[in-house]
Formats: sequence, structure tokens, C-alpha cells
Amino acid sequence: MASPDPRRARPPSPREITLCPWLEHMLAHVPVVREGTDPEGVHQVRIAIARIRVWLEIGGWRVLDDDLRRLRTIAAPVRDLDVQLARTLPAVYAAELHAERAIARQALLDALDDPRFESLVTALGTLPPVRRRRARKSLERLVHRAIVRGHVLPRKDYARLHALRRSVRRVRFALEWLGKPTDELVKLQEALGEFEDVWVALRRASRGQSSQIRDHARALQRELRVTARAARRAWKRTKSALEELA
Amino acid sequence: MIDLLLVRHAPAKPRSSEVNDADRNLSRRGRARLRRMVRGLCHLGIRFDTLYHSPWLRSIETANALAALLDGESTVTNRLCEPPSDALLAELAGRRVGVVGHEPHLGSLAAWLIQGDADQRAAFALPPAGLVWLVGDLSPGKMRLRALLPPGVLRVLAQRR
Repeated sequence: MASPDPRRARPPSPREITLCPWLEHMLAHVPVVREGTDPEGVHQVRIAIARIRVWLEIGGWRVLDDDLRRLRTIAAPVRDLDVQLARTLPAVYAAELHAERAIARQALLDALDDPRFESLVTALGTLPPVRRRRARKSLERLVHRAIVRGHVLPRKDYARLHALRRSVRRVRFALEWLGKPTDELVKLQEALGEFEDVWVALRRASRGQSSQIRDHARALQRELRVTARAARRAWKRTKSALEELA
Repeated sequence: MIDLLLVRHAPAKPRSSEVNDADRNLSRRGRARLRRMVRGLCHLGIRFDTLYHSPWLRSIETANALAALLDGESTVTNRLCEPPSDALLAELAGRRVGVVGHEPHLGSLAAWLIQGDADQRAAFALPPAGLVWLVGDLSPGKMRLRALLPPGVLRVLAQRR
């Protein structure tokens, strides 16, 4: 089979949205992941996958999303560990996380070397542009979903905040695909992202046995309360802008 | 023991020098036939645990319509653009498996699984939007033909209430 070339798709009309920029973005960062010296490679591949999944959703594509989700799930631990390792950590804990990261990274490299990845890229390269009218209708559905998810946010229900973050991310990416401004959503997503990073770090640190790691977990617990509060406030500020979109 | 449903993509636009073969999408007639196929399969109560399809556009479009009957996950695989192989069989998982691909490979796959001989494919060659339903163990020569459903049959089924 010929090597995949995302640029072969026909140029879109003004009423259409092509996948090309983010497919190319993903492919451009795969070599960075393989090289392994810059954590940004994994981050950018994950970002591209998330945007491509939203493009599929607004285009009415049910297939290929499962393939992308599996790939993103494999990439997730590498990125999560990179974020945790960027913090100041007890040495013993950092060593544990580095060992976990090496295993997670190998799993990601295996996935990128698997023929399924080539199949996925070939398939994405064949998809025609999405019609803007269709994308706008899908956006309404995504906005509605985010509003429902954020309707009630109990103080210690972090899973709901996590679900809200995913919904907001989808709305933001859908707006970006449509070329609409996303400034307020970016700020909200940053606040939700800070909460998410701490939440993920805390869940891992809570499994730690040594007193140093338990101290680290207690510090994260305090940080979690602060970031969750900030995220809920950011949601309250942005909610009305989102409701206008609906 | 699994149910394996091999589906050939719905009719696509004709080949042309301007369009890469992998990029050919379904024709208007193909889309209509695909809708009838999905309704016909729905009438038979067919659902899929897993759905595999090739990365070519006409196969992706066909699989996307069949995803209405999918309870589990879909997977894209280049191996459906090649003659059937052990690697393809190793990839197929689930109890009710849908496979969307191309001729002559689907006919070869059916012949291989039923008779143990992929060269007997002419007997199982599928028309566009046609389907062959096999049951048995997923090994060469170990499956039985349960049904051969050409588009005409699915069209009739689609019209029944």
C-alpha cells in the first residue's frame, strides 16, 4: 500500500473544513515521540488526536474514533507522568515514576509501530472535508452536553469536574474547527486543566507507601481543593457565554 | 464459535485517473443501497460486537453506516486491502464480527474459511453491498455458510415492516 499522504485530499471549499492541518500536525510530531528527548512530542500528538476526534464527531463519523481513542489512551500515561515529573518530587517517588514512564513510552512506541497506526493514518487521509453546516449543528449538541455536565458541580465530586473538562474541550475544538473565537473557553480549560493535573497526580501519589510520598499526597490534596475551586469559579464565569452558543 | 459477516462496500463512484482508488467515495446509488442494506440487516436483528473495515473511503463510508448496528468498537485495518492472511484472522475478535472490505479479497476470505482454499473465491464473490454470513471457528476450513445475502434480498427485507 502506498505510504499515507494527508495532503492528497482535495482542497476544501469555504463551506467545508478539512482535517489536513491536524493530521499533518500529528504526523509531524510522531518522530519527536520516537526520538524521546522532548516531552512536547507526546503532548502534541495527544492534542492532535483530541482535535481529530472532534472533527470526526462534527462530521458525523462514528468509525475511526475508536482507533484514535485507543491510541490516545496509550499515550495518556506518558503525558500524565511527564506532567508529574515536572514537579518537585521526593527522589524515591521520582525514580518510581521514571520507571513507569519508560514502560508507558515503550507501549506507545509499540502502538506507533503497529500496522494499525498506518491503517489509521491512511484512513484519515482519505476522508473528505466536513460541511460547515453539519459542523454547526454538531456544535449545538456539544454545547448542550457541556452545559448539562456543568449544571451541578458538588464540591468534592471531582469526577464531574473531570467530565466537564472533557466536554468543554470538545466545544473548544469544535469552535476552533469552525474558526470561531475561543478566548473565554481557553481560560476555562486552563483552569480545568490545572485541576486535572493535580487530580491525576494525587491519584497516583495516593498509592505511595513511603512517608515522603504520603506527605507529597497531602500537599496535592490541599492543592486539589484550591484548583477545583478555581475551576468551578471559571466555569461560573464562562457558563453564560456557552449558553449563548446553545 | 463466532458469527462472521463479510460485507462488501456499497457501490462507489467509477475509477478515474484524477482520484486515487483509495479515495473513491460511494455513489448516490451506493448510498441508497447502503441505507437499504442497513434496514435489511436491522430487520434480521443483526448486531455486531466488533466491526473491522479497510482504510479506503468507500469501505469507511459503508462501515460508518453499519456502525448503527454496532454494540462494541470498530477497527480499521490495512489487512482488508490484501489477500486474506493468518495475521488478519489473528486481528479479528468478538463473537459477532462484521468485516467491511473489497473484492476479490472478501471472496477469497470466505472460500478460505469455508473450504480451506482461497482460490475457490469465485463461488463466494460478493456484489457491492452484498454480504456473506459464516458461522464456526475462525480457522481455514472450519466455518459454515449460514447465508449469502445479495443486495436484492436485503432490499426486500428493508421494505418489510
